Amino acid sequence: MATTSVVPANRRRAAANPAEDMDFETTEGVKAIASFEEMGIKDDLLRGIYQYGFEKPSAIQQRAVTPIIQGRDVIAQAQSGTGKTSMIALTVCQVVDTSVREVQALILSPTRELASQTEKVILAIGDFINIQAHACVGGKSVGEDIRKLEYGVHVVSGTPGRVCDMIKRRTLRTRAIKMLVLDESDEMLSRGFKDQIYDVYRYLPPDLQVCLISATLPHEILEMTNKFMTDPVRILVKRDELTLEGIKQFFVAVEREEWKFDTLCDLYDTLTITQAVIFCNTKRKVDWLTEKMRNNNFTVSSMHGDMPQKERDAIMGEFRAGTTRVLITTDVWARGLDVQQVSLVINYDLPNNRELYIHRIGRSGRFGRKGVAINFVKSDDIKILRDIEQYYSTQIDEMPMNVADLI
Amino acid sequence: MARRHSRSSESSEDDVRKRRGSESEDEERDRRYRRGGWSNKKSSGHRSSRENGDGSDSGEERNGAKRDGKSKSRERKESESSEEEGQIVSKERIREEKKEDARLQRRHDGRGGRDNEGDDRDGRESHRGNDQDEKRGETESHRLHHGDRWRGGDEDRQKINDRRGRHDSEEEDYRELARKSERDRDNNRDRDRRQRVEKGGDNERDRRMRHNSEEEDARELARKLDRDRDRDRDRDRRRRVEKDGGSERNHREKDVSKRQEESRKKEDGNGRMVEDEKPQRQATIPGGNLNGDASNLGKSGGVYIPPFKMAMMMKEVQDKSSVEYQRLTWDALRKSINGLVNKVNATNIKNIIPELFAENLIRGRGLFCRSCMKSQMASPGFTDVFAALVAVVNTKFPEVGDLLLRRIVLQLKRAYKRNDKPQLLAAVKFIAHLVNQQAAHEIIALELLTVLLEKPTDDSVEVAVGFVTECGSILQDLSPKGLHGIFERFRGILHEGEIDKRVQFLIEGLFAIRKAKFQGYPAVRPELDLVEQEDQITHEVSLDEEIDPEISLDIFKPDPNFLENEKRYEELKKSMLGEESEDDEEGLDSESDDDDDEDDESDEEEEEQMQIKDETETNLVNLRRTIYLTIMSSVDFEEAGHKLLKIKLEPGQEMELCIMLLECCSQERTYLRYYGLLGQRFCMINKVHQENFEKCFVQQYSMIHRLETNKLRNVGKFFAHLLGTDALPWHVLSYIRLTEEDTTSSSRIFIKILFQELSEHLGIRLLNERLNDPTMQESFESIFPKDNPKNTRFCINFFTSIGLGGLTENLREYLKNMPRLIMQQQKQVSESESDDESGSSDSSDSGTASSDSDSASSDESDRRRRKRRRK
Repeated sequence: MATTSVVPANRRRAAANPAEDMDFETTEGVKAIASFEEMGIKDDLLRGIYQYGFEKPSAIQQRAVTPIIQGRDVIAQAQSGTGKTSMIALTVCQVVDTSVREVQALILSPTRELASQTEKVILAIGDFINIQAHACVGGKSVGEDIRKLEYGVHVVSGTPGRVCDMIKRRTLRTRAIKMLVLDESDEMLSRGFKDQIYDVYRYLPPDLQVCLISATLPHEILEMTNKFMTDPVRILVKRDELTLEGIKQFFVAVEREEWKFDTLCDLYDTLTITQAVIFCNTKRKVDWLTEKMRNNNFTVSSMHGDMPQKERDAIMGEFRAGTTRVLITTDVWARGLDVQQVSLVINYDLPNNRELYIHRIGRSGRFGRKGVAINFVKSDDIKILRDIEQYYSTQIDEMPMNVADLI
Repeated sequence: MARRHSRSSESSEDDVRKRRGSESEDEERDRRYRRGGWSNKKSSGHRSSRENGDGSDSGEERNGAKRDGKSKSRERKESESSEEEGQIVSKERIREEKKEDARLQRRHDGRGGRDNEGDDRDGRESHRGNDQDEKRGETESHRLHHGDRWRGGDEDRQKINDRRGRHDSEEEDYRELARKSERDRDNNRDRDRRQRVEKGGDNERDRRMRHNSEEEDARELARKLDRDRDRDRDRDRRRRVEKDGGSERNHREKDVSKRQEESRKKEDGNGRMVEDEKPQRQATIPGGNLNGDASNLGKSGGVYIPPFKMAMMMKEVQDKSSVEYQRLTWDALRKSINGLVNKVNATNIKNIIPELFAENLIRGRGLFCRSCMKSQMASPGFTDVFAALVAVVNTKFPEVGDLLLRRIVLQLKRAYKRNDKPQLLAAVKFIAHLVNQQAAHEIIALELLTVLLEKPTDDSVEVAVGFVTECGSILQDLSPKGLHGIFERFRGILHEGEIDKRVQFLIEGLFAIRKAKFQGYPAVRPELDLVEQEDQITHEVSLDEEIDPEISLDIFKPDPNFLENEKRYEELKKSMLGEESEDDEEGLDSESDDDDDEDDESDEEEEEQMQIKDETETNLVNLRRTIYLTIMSSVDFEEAGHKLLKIKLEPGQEMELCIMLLECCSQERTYLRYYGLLGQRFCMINKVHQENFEKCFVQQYSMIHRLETNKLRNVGKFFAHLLGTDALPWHVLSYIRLTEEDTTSSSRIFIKILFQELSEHLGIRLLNERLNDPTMQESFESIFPKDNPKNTRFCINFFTSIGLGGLTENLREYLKNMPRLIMQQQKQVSESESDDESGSSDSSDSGTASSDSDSASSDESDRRRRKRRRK
């Protein structure tokens, strides 16, 4: 039965492949460079990279860093957790001239957490080259932004709304900007953000280098890039390679909503878990589950979109530092954020669209580590799960009894 | 040594005897190892033992027929010996077990429809057993939560009596242990739940003994759904058992039957509740079975079974022998230990430790070590937390600390030999933190560094740098010359220049850390400093030693002295955790009903506590005065909050802050928003304060009849403010039971003010939404009772009279439909139950009702067809 149903899907995909392949593929001639030294990185920057914990470049770093350093426009797609953010930080630090105290690189992200995280990575990697970076995001003091930008920074990592505001106030001067990076590009170029991106883009110098980075790059986004990129180097991943082999995916048929919590507690008795992220679809459920788990003696952080920015920052800080071992959140946290020690993602509710699924399960298995994603499936959810399975050409099995031995 | 040797020889004999029983498990494990490539990581000793196992398996296959007969007779003998041991159990435990038995028996009757025969693989059965235990524990805690309904009062009283007796007999023990376990005093609910699970387990053993002789009857029972027939068969079974058994067993059975009758009467009184529960269970059986069967077909080892499905297969496990029961408790022990290790963190380690001691750490010491090592390998960032956990366990069970250290050193040596860097890094880090906690002697640290730096490579130097970073601070204190020598060696390596640039950077970084006197890298974080120096026991293990990891401790073996050992550990546990009962009593006080006996007992307990606290009474009075003056003298709530947080509170005194705040609020002539805002701020800042305000709510409500009208108003508005701002979680409302018998005029005034104030805060529409939140209905059942039309009507009238009739629309609808529901129940019990389960909208309800009334047939096949159609 299952075998029969898969064949038509395969045929359909095979039919679609030639069209996609003709239009957009990884650019030929992109070489993989196996060590940071061979890329021509500055010594002080090397020191920062090694101190940050990297030893060798990941696949995307091997391929994308050199074209970016050479000044090419680049479209880089890579699976979640394979070093895209640190690649951005690395290339920005290499390109920027720290003796010139002007904004030379601009990185735009869809969420405040992601922009702040990028800033932190830049500061960490650029520790020995005295990089000045600023996170220009909403929800924080405008006065502080103005003061910081007038003090002079080399890199701005921000969200489009606040960045555009700063440009219009002429606090953020754009004449020296050489590089624009759009992190989570498909989100940035989607309907919600496109106008804001265009507003920012209008103010930037004409010979700008543009880099697009994401784990998911739908076809329509790639078509759009012709309008503002010049002969980009494309480093793409086929859709069916997007789900990592390092992340094992399972589902548990819980049948009813009220049985999910018992199942969750039993998983904690069954598996070995470092830190876990649990995704719910509503804020109310996040709060409810948080309270319930605290009563069961878990150390829990929770986050959703209604929280003020300072609270969100504090929560991220305590989870990242290991003060808590469980983070319960809505999809505000699904994209890009990086906590290395997350080993388990639980979809307490299935996500509302297919892209969110990739971003959710990408929270575990960061940078080559093993990860597990477990989906709680009610009776009427199974169809959604099979759709995701077929779309990404991946396999989501029912969780076996001996799952603890497989991990 | 001699004892251990004899035990090991006995266990080896048991292994041989039990070989066939665990044959499938062994094969499964082998397959797993081969697939995962784990065999490379195991020791050669382990490999050879596995090979032996394979050999004996193949041998047994040849003699399968003979062994079947032998194993059956052996099982019979074992069950007989278990019965003999059972008679030794103390009277107190008999009493408890009878109660448990009565409860379980009732549940068993109710669950008749759930029983089914499924795959009887060993692993799955033991897994099912574990979940059953957990499920039962949760059910029991839920029942206690609604004490009025489920005889909570009686059980509370019984517990108090038991605890007082224990307290008297162990007074000296208490004084000796008071200092040591001061940190372990924190109270928590999980431990209570686990203790209840243990009682359930004991009871299960008794039931299994009885069921062994009635296996066929049990299977027949599984097929019947009708309760009357179940009752008849119970009577028949009881009669048969009486004929077969001796006089003592007859006596026990009579007591049990009396208890059953009592519980049946109460069950009739709560018939509504029982009937509500039943349809859910019935409806889930087919779906679960279908899904499980379909999934099982294609997979080796079977799929993961969630706890609710495991509970459905409970019957299967009851029929097993006592060795199977031991295996069930073994798996439960492993899962409990693993769960606790998964949860532990710097902030909750004080709560986790008592729960951990509640598990049998002597029987499970191999499991504990394995779980710690596995978790630490996966989460090196929490190594200091795991080391603190081990350090505490080491103070009471030094053999556990020693075993863990030996295993880690063995793991380290293997990783070094195989050049497995991640594993080496993890093992080295764990040793570093055990040295920090002084559970491991610092000699091993210096020895390890010497080995790593003797022939430096990039990896070995990196590992050494990480190691010194982790435990350099304590080495500087304990062995400064040794550490200096190590740093000279690092300097030499740096000058040789043979290692690559990255590792050179690491060494330079290490020198910078040393120059800063390891600032930022303390040996032990303050919150993990849980062991007094004189209590710690330090183990020395050398890298040159031959190390025995005692791998057999990780695998289940039948224990002929199981009951004896469990009892011994139970006594040991009481001596370690005995003073926890004080905290338990406090918890119970805050949840007590308005009962004269309860009040008297709580007064006595307060006297006892006052005796203990005499020395600190002055401090307490001063603290209260300070809090009072701070609250009264502050201009606004922010200033007050700031000042109050600066007051140094001893552990356990946080409650005083909440009580005083509430007292000041109630004494005001009129309610001041100042107090609500202040309370809200405390709840937002710290979960401890939030929990304390929850306790205050429960306490205040239980003594609400003592407050005069003005205080009632102030307290009601205060809590309404906290609830309306979500500073207090709404499940505290479950303590309010809104019926004519359960409320007094004072509590009705309180409830009136509370809800009127809430509707002003939120608006009645939003308040209605909150009160109809599906995830919270369990908490709101007591305010909107549906168990009795009289109570339902009273609630509707109450809210209508205070001007909030809109909150009771669902209840009115329910009351209107109630006569029809009752009629349906009388005709077709199962039909009504499935209707209740659906929870559909009004139009669906009327449609279903009309279709039900149309059908006159009560034939079972028709019922099944209708169920299928509805799905």
